[in-house]
Amino acid sequence: MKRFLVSGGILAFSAFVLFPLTVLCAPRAEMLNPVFDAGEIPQGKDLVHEFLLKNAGDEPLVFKARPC
Amino acid sequence: MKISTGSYTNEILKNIRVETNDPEADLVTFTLKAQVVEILKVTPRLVNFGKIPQNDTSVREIVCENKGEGPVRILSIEAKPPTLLSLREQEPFVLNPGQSRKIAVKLSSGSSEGYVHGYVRFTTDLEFLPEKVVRVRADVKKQQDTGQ
Repeated sequence: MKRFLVSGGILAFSAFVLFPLTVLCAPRAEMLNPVFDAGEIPQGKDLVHEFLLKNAGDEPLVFKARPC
Repeated sequence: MKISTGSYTNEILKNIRVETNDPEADLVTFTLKAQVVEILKVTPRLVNFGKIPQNDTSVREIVCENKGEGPVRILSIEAKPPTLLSLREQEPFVLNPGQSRKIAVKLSSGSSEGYVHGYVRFTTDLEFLPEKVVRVRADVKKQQDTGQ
């Protein structure tokens, strides 16, 4: 019973103390409007759009585009 | 993100995948969609004369169609190289909405064997599409190789 309580205590400590710390001290990529539909566009006209990737975390966000 | 739509004739669907060091989202995706409206439709996009004997001629048609809501002016038509391709008409013309016109392209195969390439270029008064190019190709064979 005592061992069980100790284990539970460690788990609770991990969940409530360590886990939030790791989440808070991390970058967080936040996409605003990840899908853009330009609708109809005449052939030949350049389609230009800027997507916004925001770092909502508290560590620097490092990113690189990967070709699809 | 910038996409030139000159070579598209229908839907555009592009994804940009971005790798991040976010422990909860190491790969995020942006999606860009659009529907390209072809105002001046030129078919076929590639004229393939196929196998053609040496020192022979063949004619194919290219159809220009105005799918837009206003007139389209074809300012010039040129076929290159002139040693390979020629046009029956090269005069400027206007296509009203819904109107189409056939342009005859003549290929003179010449004496050399092998693949030959050229193009027909239409210049237009369309703001976003000042020219449209149709590629042309043929495979010039010895007389007995073409099965003719």
